[in-house]
Amino acid sequence: MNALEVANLTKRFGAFVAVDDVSFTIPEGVIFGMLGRNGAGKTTTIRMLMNIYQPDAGTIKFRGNRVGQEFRDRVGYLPEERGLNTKMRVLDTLLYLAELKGKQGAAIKAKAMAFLTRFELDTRTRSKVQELSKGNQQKIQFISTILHDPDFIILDEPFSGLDPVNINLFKNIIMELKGQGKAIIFSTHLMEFAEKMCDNIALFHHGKVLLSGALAEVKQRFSTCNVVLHYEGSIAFLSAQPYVRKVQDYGNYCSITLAERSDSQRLLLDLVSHGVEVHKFDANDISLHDIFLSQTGAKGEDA
Amino acid sequence: MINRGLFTVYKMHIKQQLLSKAFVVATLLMPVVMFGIIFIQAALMNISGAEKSQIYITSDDQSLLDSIEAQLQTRAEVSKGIYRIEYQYVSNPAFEEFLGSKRPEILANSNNGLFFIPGQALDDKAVRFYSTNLGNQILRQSMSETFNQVLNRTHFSLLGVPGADLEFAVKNIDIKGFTVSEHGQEQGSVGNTAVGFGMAFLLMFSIVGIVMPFSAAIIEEKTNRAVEVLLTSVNPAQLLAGKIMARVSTGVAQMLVWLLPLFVFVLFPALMVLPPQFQIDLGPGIFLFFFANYVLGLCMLLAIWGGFAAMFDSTQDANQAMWPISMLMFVPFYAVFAVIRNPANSVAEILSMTPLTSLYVMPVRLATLAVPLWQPLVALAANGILVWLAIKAGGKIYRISILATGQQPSLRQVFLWLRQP
Repeated sequence: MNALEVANLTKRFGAFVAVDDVSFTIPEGVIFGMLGRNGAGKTTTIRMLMNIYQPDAGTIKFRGNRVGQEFRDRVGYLPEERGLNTKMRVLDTLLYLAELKGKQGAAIKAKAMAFLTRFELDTRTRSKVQELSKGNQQKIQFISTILHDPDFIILDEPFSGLDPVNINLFKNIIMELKGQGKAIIFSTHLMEFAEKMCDNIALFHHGKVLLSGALAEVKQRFSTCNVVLHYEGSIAFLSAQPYVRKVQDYGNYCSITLAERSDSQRLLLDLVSHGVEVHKFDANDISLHDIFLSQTGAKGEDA
Repeated sequence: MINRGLFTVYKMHIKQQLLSKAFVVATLLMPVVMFGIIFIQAALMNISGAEKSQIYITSDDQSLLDSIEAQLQTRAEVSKGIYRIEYQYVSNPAFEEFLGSKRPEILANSNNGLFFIPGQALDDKAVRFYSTNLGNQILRQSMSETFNQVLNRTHFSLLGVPGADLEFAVKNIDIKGFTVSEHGQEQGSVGNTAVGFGMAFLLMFSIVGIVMPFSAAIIEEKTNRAVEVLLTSVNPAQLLAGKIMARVSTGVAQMLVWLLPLFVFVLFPALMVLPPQFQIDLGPGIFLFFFANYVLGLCMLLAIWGGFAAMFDSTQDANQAMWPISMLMFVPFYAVFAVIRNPANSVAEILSMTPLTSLYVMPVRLATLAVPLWQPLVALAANGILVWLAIKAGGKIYRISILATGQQPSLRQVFLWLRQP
């Protein structure tokens, strides 16, 4: 069963079409990667899911029903631009936001304390939010997103501004939530994380969804005739080979598109004969990053 | 049934407001500030009235000059040495020369002055005053009263009017007021009038104190993006309504604290004995109206403020743009001064039923007059309609603009928003 079904969603701001006839489905219990460059329409789509913006067209269904207050109460939302009342105290903030979702009492307070302990913020419960570092404020925002035990979680760029230790902590919790059967939207422009964590994806570009579906299927669709190579040495000779269509070289590893699937054997032989030290050779594999580049034609660092 | 989200927003904000230092300080300090203003004003008047002056009183009529001197000796300002007066007979032709001799002294101190009361003044009451500071109203008024009494006495005395009649002629009239009601009449008091004006001042202080910071709070929530998280749980109307309700409740709590001494006094008049002319006689009706009106006024202004503030990304921009709207708070207050001279005139009557001005004017009229019941009801209804319109318009602007950033909307855009369903 699908947790969320989005059909023909459109949002205009004046003459600008921010989201253009977008459709995708999110099965229960998966991490759904909403991918795309900055300004691709991801956040606007999320805001429509959350009823912050009213769509100009299209429908959003949560477990078969149009989204309403029930969905709002059962969703946890971590916005891209973090937003907390900075003058409120840490624990008060968490309890207030949980109460807005219909959860209050001793149990939710105990749960908040447990999360604060896990995030090493249990000594800061009486601190005002503005007294915390940016990273710690982000932890509070993250706790407030999941404290009310939502069935559906939306994380818009959850790792931005975090150090590697905290990224790992967030990642572990996200995977735990997935393990609990929660559906998670993971919006990002960082393909590396998406590739490691997502089960399904939708690739946004200029307000449209260019492709969507299970990540494995998407990769399979684009991986034919593609080789991912980790190496040392010079591969400059490849561009002159007639069986090589395209080379995306990143220094230590590259993605090579071949003319024919069978050309992979020839490629391996040529690499060895040119003295290239091959560390890893994945035939019929492609990174999400390369799929993204091939679909959007993007060259910037965002991609 | 109150919506859960709205109630949660209300609960959080009322807690935040009532427990804030700003609330405690404003509530406790405001009466001190009010009394302080009155005290400072009185003290300033006292100080300016007690400014020492060197005065010359001259006349070409020695008898008249003696009478004025005798009269002035009875004045406290003279006996205390505040006015140091020199009396000098000067004939009319010699006056210019005398004035020339005193010019350096007059020029040396702006509080100095020279009066010339010619004998002719007994017929035409024309007195001349020479000073570098003709704006010294305190001195002029003080002397004018004495000169007038002496001139009247001397004039009528010369006409042969007996002394007792003369005293009657120079005595000021004393009109004692009696308030007529269905139950009879009783001696009039300025107590109710003072309370009426006091209430109008308190309303103004409270409304400004509650409404003005609201825009900053809205803008802060917008700029720190907290509103985006909140809007995933409650809709903009609930969010705005919760905030407004919390501020209104805070205002009512504050006003109750301020008016508590008055309530106690009205309920237990024996606690304070006042002279008849300062007696306070107020029924519960004025308090009911006062609070109903106060709540409506706050709702109206907070809805307008909330809506407009949501259009801005910085408090500075908002303050500049909202300055004309701020007049909605201040200008109606000045209507109170229109009722000072006669709370029953038709202008006062109309202002007491006109939205916004009625906030301040009607409490004054209710405290000083027996106002027909339909008039406060009309005032409440008119304010109620305006509240409804303000909440509709403010809520609509807030809903649309609270998440918008960047360029501020034009007036045309705002007008188009208001026309949206």
